[in-house]
Amino acid sequence: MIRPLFYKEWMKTRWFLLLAFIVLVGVSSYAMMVFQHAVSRKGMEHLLIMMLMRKATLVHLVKYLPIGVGLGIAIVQFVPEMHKKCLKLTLHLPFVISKSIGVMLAWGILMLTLCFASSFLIVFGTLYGPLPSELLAQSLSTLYPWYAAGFFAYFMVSATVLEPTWGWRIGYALITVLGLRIYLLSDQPFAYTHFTWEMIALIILASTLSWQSVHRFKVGHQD
Amino acid sequence: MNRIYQITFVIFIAILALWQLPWGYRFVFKKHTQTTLPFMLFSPITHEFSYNEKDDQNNLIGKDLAGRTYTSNELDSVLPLFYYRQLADRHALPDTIAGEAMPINKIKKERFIFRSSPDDINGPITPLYMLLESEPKRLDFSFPTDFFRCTNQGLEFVDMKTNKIKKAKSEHFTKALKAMGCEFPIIKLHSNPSVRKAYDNGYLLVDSQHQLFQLKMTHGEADCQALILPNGVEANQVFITEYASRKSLGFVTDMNNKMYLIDAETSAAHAIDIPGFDPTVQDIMIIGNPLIWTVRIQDSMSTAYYGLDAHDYHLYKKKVYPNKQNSFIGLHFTSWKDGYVRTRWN
Amino acid sequence: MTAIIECKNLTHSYGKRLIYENLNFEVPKGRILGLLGKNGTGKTTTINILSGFLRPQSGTCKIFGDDIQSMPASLRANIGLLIEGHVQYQFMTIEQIERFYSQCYPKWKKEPYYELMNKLKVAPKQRISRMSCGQRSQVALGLILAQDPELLILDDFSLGLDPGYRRLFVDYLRDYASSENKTVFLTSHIIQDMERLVDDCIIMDYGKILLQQPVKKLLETIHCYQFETDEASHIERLIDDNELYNPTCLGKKVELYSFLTKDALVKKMHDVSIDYQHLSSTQVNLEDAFIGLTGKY
Repeated sequence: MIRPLFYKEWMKTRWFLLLAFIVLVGVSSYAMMVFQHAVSRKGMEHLLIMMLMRKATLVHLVKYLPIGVGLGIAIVQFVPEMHKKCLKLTLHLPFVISKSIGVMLAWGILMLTLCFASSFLIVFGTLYGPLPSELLAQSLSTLYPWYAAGFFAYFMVSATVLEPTWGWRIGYALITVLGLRIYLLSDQPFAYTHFTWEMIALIILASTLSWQSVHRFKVGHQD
Repeated sequence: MNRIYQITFVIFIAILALWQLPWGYRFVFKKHTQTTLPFMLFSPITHEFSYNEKDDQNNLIGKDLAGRTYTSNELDSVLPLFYYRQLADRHALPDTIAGEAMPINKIKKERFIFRSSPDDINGPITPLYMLLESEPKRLDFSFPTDFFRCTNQGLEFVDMKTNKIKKAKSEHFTKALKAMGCEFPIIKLHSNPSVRKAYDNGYLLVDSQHQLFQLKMTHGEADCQALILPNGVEANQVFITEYASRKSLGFVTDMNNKMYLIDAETSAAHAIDIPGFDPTVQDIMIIGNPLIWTVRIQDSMSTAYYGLDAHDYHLYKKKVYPNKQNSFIGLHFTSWKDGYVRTRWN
Repeated sequence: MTAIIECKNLTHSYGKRLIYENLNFEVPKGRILGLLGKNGTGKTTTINILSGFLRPQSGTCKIFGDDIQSMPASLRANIGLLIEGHVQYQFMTIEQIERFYSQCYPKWKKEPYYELMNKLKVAPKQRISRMSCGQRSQVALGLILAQDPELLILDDFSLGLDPGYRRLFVDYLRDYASSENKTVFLTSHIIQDMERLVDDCIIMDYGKILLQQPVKKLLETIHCYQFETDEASHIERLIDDNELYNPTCLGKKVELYSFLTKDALVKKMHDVSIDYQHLSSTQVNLEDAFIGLTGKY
């Protein structure tokens, strides 16, 4: 079951994934190049002092990219499914429907994880040597709420696209916008230290809505 | 399964509604939760809180809490240590104020403003610190080439360029503090890590036993002293001060929220005659001059003003204004009291 | 004969609009059954219920003895589904879509699929989204043939196809179904194609099934009667007769459909005192029978 479904998802998402990977890795690399350029121009001491005093994180360029990637993957995965109700073909496959949807979502999560991990590793790999652990943590602690926002955006947009009626789609879109606000409330380093479980809980809640949309499609809800 | 999806959907809607509906209500039908209070100062002349206010014609008029009104020039004379430049400009600055000789240089030197808000205490921090050389050549302060961190065993200095631990320096400073009786780990510390200042008081440190210490680096060597607090007083929050008067080392609050000033000359702790100040939930502003300190303490319940004597910090007068309570219950994630994103309910 | 599809007391409405109530029908194994009905009589509703994409308000619908709503997933491998418009994954090419489906179905046979694809004049790497309607229909048909299911459900299989592709589709499907003893349930608006293809038909009217019987028997027993009368207003006496379908009058000429013999009709008209002249009957095709039984409006 997994192989053909992953093959289908790969067919839909490969070009966007390539673009997303290039952009995320590119921007992360660029951010690190800016850091290294600043070090060579002004010296490591000056840069680290500015990081400490101004709470600079070096990764601000990445901020909205995870959301864009999550949104994009959801769109390229599920808009073709809803085009002329192609989802009926997927739901008609000889696989348990909830598992089929689960595999499709798992593909999205896997691709998001690979993209975000690549970006994270570039930042981590560049900063691990030169930065004291506290300043490294300062940069990385700013990244993870943005990655979490990317996962949240993926699940919410998936649920929105899979939903068969416009009324509920608008409701889901509203939840998406408000929910994403929660992940962008503060850019301060360590601001989300005490909010990790809530971020994960929101992502899990969002993930269930895709199954709800598919269930509503299956029983025949329509405009 | 469908029931589970419905439940999660309802949970989502409930969370977002509890968060956004109160916010939306306040945004649309916003009422001020507290009256806008004028900027008040305690007068060394009238011993009353005085302030400026705009009348119906938008002109500034002076007033005090005793009900007196003043013109702008009259208010300058009531608050001479605040409006000294305006008075000096019109050659109206007296030589003595409240029986004390008050040359303009003294006023300039002994004026200060101290501020602290809960966000400064509670907000997220990066636990790396810089120890400046306290007596640099040519009196030009510069940033150090290393950071230090507080570990359970002591202080650890890290070279900025190489990111390697400076073992010798770390051992030296740790030993110096231990010799003063410091018991690690350090739980609170505060300094002014700026290079634009006239002098450096280093750090005030609170150790694991709530003892208070001062740490400086003088000619590259550890320069530290234990600061003796009154019997039974355990240091809690610390604030270094580096005012032009050089009279104070800093402020300290203890575990009972009593506030003290640490004298720079004697290292003694002088209690400040205000009921209590909890820096984790209250905002404080102290406007000080050679004769009077005006202290304003704000929290969600009230705004309180205190007029204190600048010599012995005893209380002349106080005025407390209760704040209007926001009765709309809701969920929110940020707070003015700290910089964290958290689930909060009130 | 065992029934592959069994629908009992199906009731469904959209809001306040009742589509049908207590609908019952069966589809025996090995038969090709066509569902005919005017727009709004519930054909698409029935197809959606059968394919599991609509839950009826009440009643049961079983395929292979299992309720369609709770059917084990593996049983769906035995149902070939053609969605209205020959919908397939637009983002795949012919090869990619075959590769995908071949991993999903255990009985997959790629030969019938590529046999049909070789007839298409498309590049192997051409996406389905770039194909014409007819070419897409062949892809859809080829995939169903390759799947080799026991039951085929085809929703409006002739939609958008030109006569050539329609003929190709019908011929292929008929040969496949009869040679492999497959059961087919289909709908279409092009009744000539249905006549070439189906064994049995269900004709739906608003809220009910008008009839279900083999097409051959229907065409042998239904007659189109025409006569002339001077008293056109007397035709109203025939309207409520449930053995006479949709009597229409144009000037003096009257036309009606019925399963009655000529003699039986004559007796009926004498019973209601209708004078007539030039009574004649004609054999009709399936389309005429459908229009006659359901009316033009």
